[in-house]
Amino acid sequence: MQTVRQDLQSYFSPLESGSTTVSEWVSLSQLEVDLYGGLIGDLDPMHNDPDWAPGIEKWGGTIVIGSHLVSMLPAFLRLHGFPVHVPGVRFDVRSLARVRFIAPLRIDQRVRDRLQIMEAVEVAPKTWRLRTQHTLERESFENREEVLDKPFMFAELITEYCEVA
Amino acid sequence: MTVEMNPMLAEVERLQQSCPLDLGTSGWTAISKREADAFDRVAGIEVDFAVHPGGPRRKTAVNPFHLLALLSGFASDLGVPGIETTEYITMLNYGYDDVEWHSPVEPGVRIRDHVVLTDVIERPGGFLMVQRHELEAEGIPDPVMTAVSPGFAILL
Repeated sequence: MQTVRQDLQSYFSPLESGSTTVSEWVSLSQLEVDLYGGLIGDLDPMHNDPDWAPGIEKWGGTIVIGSHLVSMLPAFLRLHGFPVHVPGVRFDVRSLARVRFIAPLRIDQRVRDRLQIMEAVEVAPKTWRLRTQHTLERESFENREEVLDKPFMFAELITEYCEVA
Repeated sequence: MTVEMNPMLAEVERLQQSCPLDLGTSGWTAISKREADAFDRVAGIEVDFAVHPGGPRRKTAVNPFHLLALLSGFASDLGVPGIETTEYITMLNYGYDDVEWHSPVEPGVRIRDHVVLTDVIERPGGFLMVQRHELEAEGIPDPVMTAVSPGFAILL
């Protein structure tokens, strides 16, 4: 865990609109998807029953719940190096302008976040607002070298970072 | 040759004429501290048990995405008049629009969802059924979260 206070000015002011970074690959296990489904009251064989025949026929197995990866956007921001949940910085999610689920993602199929900076603005002293676009790209389940044409999801997010004592 | 019409088509067209249609308000529910901590874990955010020794003693609001994730359950409980998942129709989560969080919600505070079907839009292969949500928290006068969730109804 990062223990030094972030200097937000030096972190955010060099960010250029339109610049892009790509996260490392991550995946969700059946246990994680089961826990998530239980917490939000959405247990469904398409997500939670690996032996469900229609799911095997259609997707080759169980698929993740769309909102699970929406909920992981702050975790992706942290993978990109943004000061999310670090000492000395209050992190807030302000709004989510748009999310579209484009193609299914299987349990254990790897996904990564292609993040584009739309805007980084100091909205108050020591407070920065960041607007980002996220494209969650899928790796082929069969060929780990291949990134599939259709991503799992597209999202536009606004987050805020404030230096606190 | 006789072409059989999907019986849900008439229901969907009827709904189109009825929009905006108030679908009602859900029952109350609450997110416990333990659930809030567990959600953070499955959303990839570490829970600092050094700060909360001896188990979940959370002092912060619930993860805003936890509130968002509950909307599909609220909408499903309320339903849409005349529309049920059958061999003729299935619903897919298409995404979200204009999600805004207005106030933090502490664990244990009761919340409920007010849902309006604002639009039914024809698309190739089905219809977008657009629902507007206002999430209310007990003791807070204005909605704590507002969101639009378009669901894709596929006529089979």
